[in-house]
Amino acid sequence: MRALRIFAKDLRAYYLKAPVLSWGILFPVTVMALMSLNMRMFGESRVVPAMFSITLLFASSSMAQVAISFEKLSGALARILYLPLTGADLVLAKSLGGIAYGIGGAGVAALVSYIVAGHLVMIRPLYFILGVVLGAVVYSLISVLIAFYYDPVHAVAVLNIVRFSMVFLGGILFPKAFMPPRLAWLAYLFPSVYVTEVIRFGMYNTWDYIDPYTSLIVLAIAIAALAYASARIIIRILTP
Amino acid sequence: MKRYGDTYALKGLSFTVARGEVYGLLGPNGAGKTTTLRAIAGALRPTRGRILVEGVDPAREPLRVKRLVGVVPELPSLFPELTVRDNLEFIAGIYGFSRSEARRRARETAEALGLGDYLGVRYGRLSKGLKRRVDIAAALIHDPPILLLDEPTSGLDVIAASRLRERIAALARQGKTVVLSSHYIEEVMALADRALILYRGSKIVEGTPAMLRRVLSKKRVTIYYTGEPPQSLSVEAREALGAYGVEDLKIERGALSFKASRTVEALEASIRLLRERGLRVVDVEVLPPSWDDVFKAHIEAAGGRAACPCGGRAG
Ligand SMILES: Nc1ncnc2c1ncn2[C@@H]1O[C@H](COP(=O)(O)OP(=O)(O)O)[C@@H](O)[C@H]1O
Ligand SMILES: [Mg+2]
Repeated sequence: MRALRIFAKDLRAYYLKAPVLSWGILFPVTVMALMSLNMRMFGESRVVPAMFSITLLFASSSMAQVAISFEKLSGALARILYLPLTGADLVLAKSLGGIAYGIGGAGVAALVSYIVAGHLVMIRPLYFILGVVLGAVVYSLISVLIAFYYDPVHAVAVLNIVRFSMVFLGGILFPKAFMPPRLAWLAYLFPSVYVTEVIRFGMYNTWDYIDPYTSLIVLAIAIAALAYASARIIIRILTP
Repeated sequence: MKRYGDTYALKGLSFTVARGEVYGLLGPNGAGKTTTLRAIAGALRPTRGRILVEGVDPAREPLRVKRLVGVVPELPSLFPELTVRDNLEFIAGIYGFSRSEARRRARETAEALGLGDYLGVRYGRLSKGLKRRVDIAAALIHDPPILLLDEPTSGLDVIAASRLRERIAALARQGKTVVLSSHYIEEVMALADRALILYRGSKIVEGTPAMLRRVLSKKRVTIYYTGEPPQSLSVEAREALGAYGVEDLKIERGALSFKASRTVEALEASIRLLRERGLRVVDVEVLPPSWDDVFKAHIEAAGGRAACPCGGRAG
């Protein structure tokens, strides 16, 4: 399968390099340190799922930058255009890195928090896993789309705006009750709120903005729409 | 036709390449060579107009065309982090070959291009000449009948460039159809069966190298003489030769030279003049025009300003 071949090549060329890998370990540790400060303010069932959600978001959306922006600069992406690949091949290939990395990052975060905190609440592991996997897919797709669409310099900026909007407005960091009513509805525009609620439900059996079942449906639809749209437009973007 | 906003990268361009032919696209930077090759390869959609590659339209069925053509892009652009072997096997894999078949093809294609010793070396560490050869190997990995080469020797030293030209000629002898772009007129002329001169996105002239060379070309004629020339020789020569399309007339002690399109008549007239003035003609030299001269002449005849085709990076 073509997408897997590209993924395997990216793995060898970029993903398994030390600087890239260390980010995946450093990041959750840093987030956890920051989060533990917030623990008392918002409570464990807000803070711990948020930590997983942030780790997932940053890990799964970082790879596209590496594999797409870098290849744009080196000209390799233009070279790939001469190969018989479809938009779907490219989107899938470039998303797999982020998906794998996001899931791995969440795994590392789980391990680290278990070791540091001594316990890990996981009432419905299946939902936790679903949340992590769907989250990795949706974040990775978004970052792939951004990296393909924008030139390398702008892609980083756009990606960061999107990511930080998700963290602060997208239902990851702040409980609904804490948000000004005029801003609270914004959360529903971001996939992060659904990812975070499914993860929260998996861990603590509660939810805040929206119930986990609706969240799963919204996420499934969002992923299908994003995958379809990006497969359609990627070739358009790359062949002027 | 290809338009980017208000810029026409290609306009009214039309040509046909026969199977097995080596066809040259010659033009200064920005002429539209890369755009043309990308459109043929299905990596760019023409704004208007149609291309057929073995009867397949690359804008409609890019995947089919991509299996028919191998492309050597303008700049080395394989994966610098991967070895030559990994690069070639990766590309073979994309064409759908099994792992073992990909491995075999990578090795055989590399060896055919004299890259056998470099299979384990990272692409990013190779010299420009070697990178170019790996690029060619990558373009040939699926054994396409058509090869598109975008300025294959640009940036190479003279020796590496001439070796590469030999390899391209060898591929043509094996029956590949080759479309080659260059801003070096000598290169296209040395390799191509036919060529077209592209300027600002339009075709200026198309034909065999000999045709391109003859049309509009002016040969440099030098006549060597002995004796003391009169002061008036320069004026007289200008008068006598004006009818024959003479340019760039130079009279030095012992030599009279000019560029002319009607070489024979101009030569006769000047020998006659020199003898009438009591000078002895000792030798005559007629040099073919340099390709740069041909190139400039074509462009000037087409109403464009001559751009020096002799250096600089491609756009
Ligand atoms: N992506 C693009 N956007 C806008 N203009 C472009 C683009 N690519 C090429 N051009 C313009 O099209 C013209 C032809 O370019 P190109 O085909 O690269 O020329 P060449 O390969 O002969 O140097 C140039 O004027 C160039 O500036
Ligand atoms: Mg070019």
